[in-house]
Amino acid sequence: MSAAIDVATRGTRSTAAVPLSARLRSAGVWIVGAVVVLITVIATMLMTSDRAPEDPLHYDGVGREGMKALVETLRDHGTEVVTTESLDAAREASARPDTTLLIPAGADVLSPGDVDGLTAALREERNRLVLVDPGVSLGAFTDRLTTAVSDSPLADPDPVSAPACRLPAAVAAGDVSTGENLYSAVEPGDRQISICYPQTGPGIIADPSDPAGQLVVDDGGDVPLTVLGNGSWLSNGEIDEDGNAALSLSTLSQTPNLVVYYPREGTDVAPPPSTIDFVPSWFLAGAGWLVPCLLVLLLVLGRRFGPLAVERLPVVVPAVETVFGRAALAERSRDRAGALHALRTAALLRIAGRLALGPEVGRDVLLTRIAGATGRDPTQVTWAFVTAAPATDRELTEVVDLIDVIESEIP
Amino acid sequence: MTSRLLLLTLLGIVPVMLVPGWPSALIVAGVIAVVAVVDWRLAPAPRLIGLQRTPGPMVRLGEDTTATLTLVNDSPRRIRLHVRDAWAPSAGAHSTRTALTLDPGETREITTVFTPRRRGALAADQVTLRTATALGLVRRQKSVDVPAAIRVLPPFVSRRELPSKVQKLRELEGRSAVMIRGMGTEFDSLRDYVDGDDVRSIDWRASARAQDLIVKTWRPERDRRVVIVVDSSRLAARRSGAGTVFDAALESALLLTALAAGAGDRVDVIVADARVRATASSHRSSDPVHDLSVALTPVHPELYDADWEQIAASVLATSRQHALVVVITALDEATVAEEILPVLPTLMSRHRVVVASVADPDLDDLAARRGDATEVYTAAAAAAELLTVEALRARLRGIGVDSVAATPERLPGALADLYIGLKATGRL
Repeated sequence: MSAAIDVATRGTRSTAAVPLSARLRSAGVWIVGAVVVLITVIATMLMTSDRAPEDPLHYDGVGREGMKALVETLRDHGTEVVTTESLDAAREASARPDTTLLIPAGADVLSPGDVDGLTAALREERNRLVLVDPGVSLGAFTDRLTTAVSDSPLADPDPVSAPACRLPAAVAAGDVSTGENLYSAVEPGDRQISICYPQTGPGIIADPSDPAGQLVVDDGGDVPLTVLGNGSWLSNGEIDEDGNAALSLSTLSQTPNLVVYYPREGTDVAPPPSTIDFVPSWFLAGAGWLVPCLLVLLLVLGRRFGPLAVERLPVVVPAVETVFGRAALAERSRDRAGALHALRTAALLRIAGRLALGPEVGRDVLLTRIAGATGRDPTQVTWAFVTAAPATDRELTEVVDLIDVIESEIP
Repeated sequence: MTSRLLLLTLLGIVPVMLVPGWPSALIVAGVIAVVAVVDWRLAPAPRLIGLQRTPGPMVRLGEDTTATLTLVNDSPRRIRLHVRDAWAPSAGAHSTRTALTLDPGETREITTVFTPRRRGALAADQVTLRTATALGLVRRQKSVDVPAAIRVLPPFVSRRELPSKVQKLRELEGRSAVMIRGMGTEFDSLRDYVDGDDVRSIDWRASARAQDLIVKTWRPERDRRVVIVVDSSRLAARRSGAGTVFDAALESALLLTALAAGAGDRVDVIVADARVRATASSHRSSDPVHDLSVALTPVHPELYDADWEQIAASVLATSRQHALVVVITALDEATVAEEILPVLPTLMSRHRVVVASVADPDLDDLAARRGDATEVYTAAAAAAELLTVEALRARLRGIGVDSVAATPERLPGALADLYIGLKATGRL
């Protein structure tokens, strides 16, 4: 048979050419799917960036308390800034030459061992350590500096402090914002300790023999140490005020490398090894690969070979159900008389047929013939077929049974 | 998506386990995805296949039929195909799926065998084509409408009763028994007297002329009109025994048509509810039963009330001369009283009307139920239903309308007997 078949004699013919609307409809599913995926990705990204840390002086913080402005400015000016929350990474990065380690906050989280590790790393290359307002945890890093105890509780310091020292960075920066804490040397008069920015103002009593300031630089310890006594010098919110920016930038850009370490509680505690750590990685990879295998299996099994075949079936009305409905109605309304009447009439019609009596025969004649044919008491026959009025369902059943018995006795 | 793609994915576990880690897993997955997409794009487009459906011969319900699906490869490529030839479920297709390979320009026919499960015009559903490359990782799929239908005629189970009924008619005709003059007979011919002929049928005038004894022969009246009205309204959609009331009505109409057309009468069939759904006539028909079957095949009862005035009008329009009008409907009290009885005088003024109705075989069983009170009430309700039918039949008899009510299996025979009885007594 040739490809050209006589359509007129052989019936209908079709090709699989699909109209454009149907194509768009099926393509629409993919477009909608792509849009959904895109929205999910965008939403996920937005939600993760919304979760930027709001911790004070965090290197990624973009709020007033954050420190991102300083970090970015340093990077723009050629300083290699390494930011980390991991102790190991901070220790590793601090061991490189020409590096400064900045711990902007959370120094109190570090254990003595952590501090030893950090200082040991710094000591190798004589790298500088910069602490920002460490408070009492300063004692963990050095025994040459200490927190100054304020002798004047009623003091009202000026909003800005002057350098009052010969440290070049401080002199260049000039006035800076005044903080709350002061630091001093353990042994006053140590020539290698520079103390700048003392608090001035009404009610402040300064002790010239034991100077205390907001900026303390100690070049004499195992590790060169700088204490910036006021965190707001570095914060996004106040870095642009007075000489804050100049002071912090010149302090942190003395070396080409800067490590910003933001200690966090518990991050460096190794979790106890779980069972999964003892499972070989090739086994995990193989087990994980079963997920795409399962996906493909679902696709293979789930693809339908064409739509379900449909059919318009002819209507069929249940017929006998109405009988049950009527029976239930009669039972609920206790229509014993009606039920008995129907059964009696049906039985009498059948009996009349068996006795060859026509429809014109009267009831009494029929009853007499029944009594004659069965040999039963006519009173009983009349009772069963006419007079009995059952008061309960049980009596109704008895009367019906009697009618059946009488009917069965008809020859 | 085929099992080969699954196999390929399972094989991917080897490189993934040899080099554990996210990069290798992503690379393997990416390679598999790219191969699958490329394989899918390379598969021939299903629209390159030309399709044609050819329904097989009409059959009666219970017999097998076939349909042929012709596939033409119009493209210059060799195409590997999986075909699903979907049909309505009740068409009873034996096998709907085929795998084949078509060379360029090749034509192939797939013949599907059906054992239909119901009467009617059973429509084809879509043809689904799947093509694949030699690699066969992902198949392209397309479903196409190719309209066709197989026609399944009513089963005509009552055909087996036809020989006995025809025999009865022949006895009437005198071919196998002595035929005497009487009601319902007409003059047939003159022939020589043979021993045993009824002396009353000797035609003395012809005998005198022929100098020999000549008898007249008689035959039943011929060329009478029979109009069968089948009600296809909601009452015909009731379930009764294995099928519906309508199925039993069709059986009765078919048997009566076969019988009456064989006896030389002209039979017209009208199927109607709110409108006339189908008509058929034995006039100038070589095979009236087949023609009637074909006409009735696509008709199914619908949930309308019958419009009896319109039905009466179409009966009157069908036959102007005296006819036997057989109305096959339900003996429903309200319908008969309000719809059928008012139009009967119009019909009876010109025709003889017979009402046939399908009795529900379940009702007799229900009426015989005994036991507890619930059973007795059910029996009473069923008995009341049967009594209503009997009362309606008595009422119809009162106005001169014969009626038949029987179970679906008995009704065709009972109606045929009624027809033979009417014919024998010349009341046609």
